[in-house]
Amino acid sequence: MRRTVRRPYDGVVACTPVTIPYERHSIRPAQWWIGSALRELVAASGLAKSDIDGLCVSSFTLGPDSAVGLTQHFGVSPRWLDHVPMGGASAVVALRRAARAVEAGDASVVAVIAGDTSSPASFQDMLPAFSRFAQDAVYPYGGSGPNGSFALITDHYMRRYGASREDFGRICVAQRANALSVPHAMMKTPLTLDQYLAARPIADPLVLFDCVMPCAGAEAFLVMREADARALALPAATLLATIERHNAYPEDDIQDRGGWALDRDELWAMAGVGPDDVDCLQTYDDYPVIVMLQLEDLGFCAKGDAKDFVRQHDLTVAGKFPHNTSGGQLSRGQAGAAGGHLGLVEAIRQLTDQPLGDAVAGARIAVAAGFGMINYDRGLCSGAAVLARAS
Amino acid sequence: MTEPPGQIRRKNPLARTRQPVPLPAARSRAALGLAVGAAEGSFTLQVCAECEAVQYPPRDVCEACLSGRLRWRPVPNGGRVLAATTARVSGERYFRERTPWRTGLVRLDCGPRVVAHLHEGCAVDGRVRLELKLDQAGRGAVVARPEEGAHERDDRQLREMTADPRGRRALIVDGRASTAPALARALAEAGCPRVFVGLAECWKPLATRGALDTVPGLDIVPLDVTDASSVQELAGQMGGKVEILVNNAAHVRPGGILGSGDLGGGPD
Repeated sequence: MRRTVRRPYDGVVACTPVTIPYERHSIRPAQWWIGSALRELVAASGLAKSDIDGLCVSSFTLGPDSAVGLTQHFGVSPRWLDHVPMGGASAVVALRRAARAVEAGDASVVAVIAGDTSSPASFQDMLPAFSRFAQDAVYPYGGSGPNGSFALITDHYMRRYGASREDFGRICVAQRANALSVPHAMMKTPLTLDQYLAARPIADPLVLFDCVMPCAGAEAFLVMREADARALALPAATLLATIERHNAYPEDDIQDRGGWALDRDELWAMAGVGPDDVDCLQTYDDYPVIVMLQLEDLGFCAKGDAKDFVRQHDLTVAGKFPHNTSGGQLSRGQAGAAGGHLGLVEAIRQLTDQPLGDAVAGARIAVAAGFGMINYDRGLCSGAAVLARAS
Repeated sequence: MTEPPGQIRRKNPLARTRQPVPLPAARSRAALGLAVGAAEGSFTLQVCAECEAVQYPPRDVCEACLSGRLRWRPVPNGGRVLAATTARVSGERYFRERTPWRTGLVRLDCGPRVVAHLHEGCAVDGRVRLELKLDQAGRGAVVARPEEGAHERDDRQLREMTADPRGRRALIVDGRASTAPALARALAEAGCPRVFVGLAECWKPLATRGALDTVPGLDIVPLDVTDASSVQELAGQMGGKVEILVNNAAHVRPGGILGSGDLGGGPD
């Protein structure tokens, strides 16, 4: 069977980055968070609610609703509707689908929204039945949820490639520095490497600051044709290339690479730029080891060299390699599925001069990556998008 | 935490009492098959009847050829530990009472990768043998032991999945049953430091009284399993002190085990 090659995008942009400020716990359900994001999209774009004729939703806490129920709840009649249940990869996947819908004329404007609520019990309640395999073969083994699974991946990575806890700490400390200028980051106090190293152990070798804090919040953006964004005078980021992959490398004993490694050549070829051209990188940072996998698998450094990369590069907004420039989930919190959208929304913000915190000077090319769904022993979904400042 | 084998120490009255919280029992229908191997003492996993691929976690179609004909069969249980972690914090109350809790990812020689409870003697890259045990939810669970030497009864975690009498208190519910003296003696000889024997209508003569009295660490307690209030009274007094319950009473609850619609309560 002949394998096709992804076709480049034809004048599709992402614009109108929206963030509903996170709260640690909220009595408002996901419907409120997603609806509030839609309201902000309407207000910020100047469009009428009825002009938005495509809707793509991601959420863990929307039940018993899916995206369908929201159309009646919000009083909209989209002619294109999608629901992407891929956790941290949802944003990239949603962007891919929305972009093709816009290209094909199935929709003229797609609202991509992720939102979740958080109660003191909601995260814990989700863990026992996160997936069929997790319920049967992971949760009954310590009940540690993703902490336990990523602890195994981190343990293996450290042994195989010689990364140290200090190397992971560098990522967390730089992201905290980036978060300090963001008004509604959940974590607003500076973090030192010593504090990171002395933190409370969670699941060896992971400590408190390796783990994200579950919270309530929403992230959203619009996808439309470049010409439409220009007519509306909306600052926009042009979509250059995307990839998505699920259950990559099933033969690997333990996850030390993701689907990015399989598809990155096509990603960069489609984008017409390379890793050296990237002005800011937004990785999916549910645990710092996954940041390292993305640095390697997307081609910013060779396999196993991420530890050297984070030693040699200043990862702060003002640094040589601006990374997770709003603090990422590690410092801003993980608002459920919106955690997957945080990086992509931040990439759009940096390319359209609308950052929440400090701006990356002269950012022209941004990459946002996604990673999601620890189904059994590894995260299954991976994705990435390359965006450019619209000319 | 299960007390280490040996003497039972008096509990510090100021210390927090461990709550008897259950481990969630929800599993897929396929995963329930692990309990059969655990009960039989064999390491059985699903094997594809068409392509012979060994499957784990339990599933409904073969990962390799998508056949729906998966059969539970004994498979070689040797493997290697790929990674290990010790959970210091848990989202589940059962484990919160028992942290730290050590688990690992094991590559079986016969193919699958298995998240398993790790015996303290298991090292990363070390050879292990996997076994199926019943966990506290009554479900089949995979435990890993070092290939050489160690026994699960010496491991704090794996003791949670066994009824090793050492350092544990047992209750034999029917002291009038002919099996009671032999059971009591066997428990004592296996290291059980305290054997309670339930006796209905204590004032009635008991022919085996002499045989029971020779068992060290034996206590007679009033218990009539046909009387729900008697069961409740004794449970209230010493339910928390008994780790092993031997149900040797030939008593069938009226309506059967499912009759009351509440497995946790008495029938009347």
